[in-house]
Amino acid sequence: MKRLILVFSKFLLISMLIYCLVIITLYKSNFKIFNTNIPNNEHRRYSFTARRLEEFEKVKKTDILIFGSSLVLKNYDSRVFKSNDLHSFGLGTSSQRPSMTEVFVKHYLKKVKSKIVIIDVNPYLMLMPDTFETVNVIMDSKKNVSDFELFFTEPGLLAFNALIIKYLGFAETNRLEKLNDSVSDKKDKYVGNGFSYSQLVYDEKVKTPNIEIESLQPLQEQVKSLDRIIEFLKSEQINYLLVLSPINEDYFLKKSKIKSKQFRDLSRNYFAKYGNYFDSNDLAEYQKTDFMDFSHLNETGAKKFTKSLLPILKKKNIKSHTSSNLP
Amino acid sequence: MLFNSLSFLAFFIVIFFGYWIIPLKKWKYRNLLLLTGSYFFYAQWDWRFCFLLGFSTLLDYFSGIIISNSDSKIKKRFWLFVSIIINVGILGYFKYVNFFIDSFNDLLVSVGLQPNISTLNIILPVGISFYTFHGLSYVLDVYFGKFKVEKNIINYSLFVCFFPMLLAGPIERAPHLLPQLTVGHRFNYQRIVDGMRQFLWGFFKKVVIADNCAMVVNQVFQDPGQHSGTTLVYAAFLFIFQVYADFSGYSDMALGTARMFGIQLMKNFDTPFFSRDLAEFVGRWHISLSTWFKYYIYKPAVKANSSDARKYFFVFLIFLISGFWHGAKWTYIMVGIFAAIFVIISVILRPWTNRFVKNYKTVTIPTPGHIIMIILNLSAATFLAVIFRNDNIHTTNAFAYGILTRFSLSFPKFMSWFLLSLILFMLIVEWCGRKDHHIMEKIGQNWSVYFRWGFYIVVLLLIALAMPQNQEEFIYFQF
Repeated sequence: MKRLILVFSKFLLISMLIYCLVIITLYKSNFKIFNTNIPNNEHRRYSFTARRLEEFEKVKKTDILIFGSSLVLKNYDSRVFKSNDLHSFGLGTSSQRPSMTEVFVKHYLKKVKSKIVIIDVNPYLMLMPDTFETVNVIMDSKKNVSDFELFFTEPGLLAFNALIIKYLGFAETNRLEKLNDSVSDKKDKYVGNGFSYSQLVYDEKVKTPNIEIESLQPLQEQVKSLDRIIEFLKSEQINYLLVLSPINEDYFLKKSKIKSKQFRDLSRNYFAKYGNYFDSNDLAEYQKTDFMDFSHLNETGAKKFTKSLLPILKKKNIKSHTSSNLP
Repeated sequence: MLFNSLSFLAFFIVIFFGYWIIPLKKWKYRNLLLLTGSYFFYAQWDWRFCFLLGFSTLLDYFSGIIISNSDSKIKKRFWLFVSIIINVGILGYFKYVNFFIDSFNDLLVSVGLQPNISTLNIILPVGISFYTFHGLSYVLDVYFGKFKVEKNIINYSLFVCFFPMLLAGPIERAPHLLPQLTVGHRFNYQRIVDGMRQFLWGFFKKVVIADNCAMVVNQVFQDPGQHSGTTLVYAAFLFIFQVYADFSGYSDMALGTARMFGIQLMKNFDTPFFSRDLAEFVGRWHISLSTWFKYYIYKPAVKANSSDARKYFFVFLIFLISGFWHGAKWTYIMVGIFAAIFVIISVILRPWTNRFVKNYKTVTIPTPGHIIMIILNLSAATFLAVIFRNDNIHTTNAFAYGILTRFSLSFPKFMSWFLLSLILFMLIVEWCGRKDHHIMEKIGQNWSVYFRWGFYIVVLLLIALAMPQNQEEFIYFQF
């Protein structure tokens, strides 16, 4: 047994050294054939993750913290909140499922306690088994403990390699370079406070992702994460809202395999039980011209949507820090 | 908990060290640990089915004891039938009841009736076909006096549910496995390293070859009407490599894992691509299943002096049952029928093929004859694989229609030279290890440690770099 442990440890050590060397070489050279599990620097660059996370480091106080998928980045217009004397910050990341939100909520709420937390909920994300979207967060953030927590929410080689590259110091140059990003190659403009907008209008001819729902049973792991998030928010006495973002009826009518009513019902089934659930499609009407693609709002839509949330916030008595009377 | 998951790694490390820390004298506790671990492993899919597994185990355990203790032939036969009927009944309920309801509905519709019989909402317990066959083989062997009854319930339970083989085989027979579970195994460094090597090769085949092929295969088979004939042929060929790499990869991982506990499971694949005819190909594919049928159906029914017609009839019957064993689908039954036809033809032609194609194990480099046979076998196997992969006969027809009507000499969509190079690498390595008990048994054994470790590191790097992000479940778990 002793011999086995010794020889195996030696082999493991040599393998790891060679492995790290190969990963770094491939990362730097961007060799196309072997790029399946090597993080790509340009991946989701249009989501301004590096810039947003860096910006949030400087935030001392905020009224509203928003978590969820990329819809957070496009739909929650921080300018509308600001014009109503509210400070908001969107920490949405691509395909952020509750397991990932849980890490975010615990990590970022420790730094900045907001008066209310909005979680942009999406039933698709309760059903998707794998997304591997932790990678660009790992690559685009400063080194911190939550990197490892994020890794364990969706463990995989890509995320493992991202950790190797980051902790050997090879990701930092690219991260610093991204801090100046303000306009993406998709012409999205970053405004600040975790919000970016686009003036594109949904074109149904553009190919949309083929999203299929095989089972209507949410993944237990995601349900448990959401349970824990709500429990945590309650224990911290932080108000919360669960919001279903506006849905593009045109897309659901013509392209989606399930219809909008089914989708909204599914969302209600999953999330209404937690209380404070709002289907934004009941709050305002949206045309296809309000969308930039099959799911994200454009600038006009984002304004409309954010304004529709203000009465709810008012009802919850959410006021800016200067006039706050909340505990 | 898949073999290729982090959770399995954690589980395995605990069981492995726990097993070897227990002193040799107390080997019974080792078996207890393996048994507990196996149930824990099985519970990761659905803990409720542990009760079914337990019931099936107890049924065959007590049937074996009663059969062995009884002097009355009638009583022995009665308990044999009880065991067979209940085992087959459970298998039939979970696996086939909806198939029969659907087929009955179709039959009624075809005679102009409008039936209203709905199918049942049944979840198929993973591995049921495998552990049911373990139990059945034991009872049959005890009944026919080929194996002495096992009175220790822990040893017997472990024989049924030893975790490496629980979900997708190999299907073990009691005379091979049970004696290994009734003795303690000495820690053997070489054997453990050998197990690791076999596991590594299986892991490579599964996550690199099978999962990469699956990405193309899934897209093409999902909507065959959208693809050119060349793409359909390409995907069909990839699918045969996917199934092979997936299932033989799983078997290698299972055998490697078992060997790390000092237990030798039955070989399940013997480089089938390097066969002289399709009969040999089939005989080297899922060996444990064909052995099971050979022992319990073919051998009792066919004697050395039986007529050719009788022999062929039983070959046909076994393939038909084998097709049905895979699942309740007409396509599986069709695969069984076509495979039987191909096998019978190749057995008839064998004297002729053997004249110009030598046994692969006796040559160093394949001759043109070998290459022709590899292509022919591969084509026949691909034909069967297309039927196997499609959900029903209608989609199989659509696939065949697409090949015949949209074929042109163009590069297939999703063509990847990288993937083809990986398949070629797999075939070369398998060629090098074809004479051994498992592919990696002797590869690198005469090399210096630098080259040997270098080879393992290359395989590990290929795994790490070429493994797709989405892992496919093992194909044979559904059976």
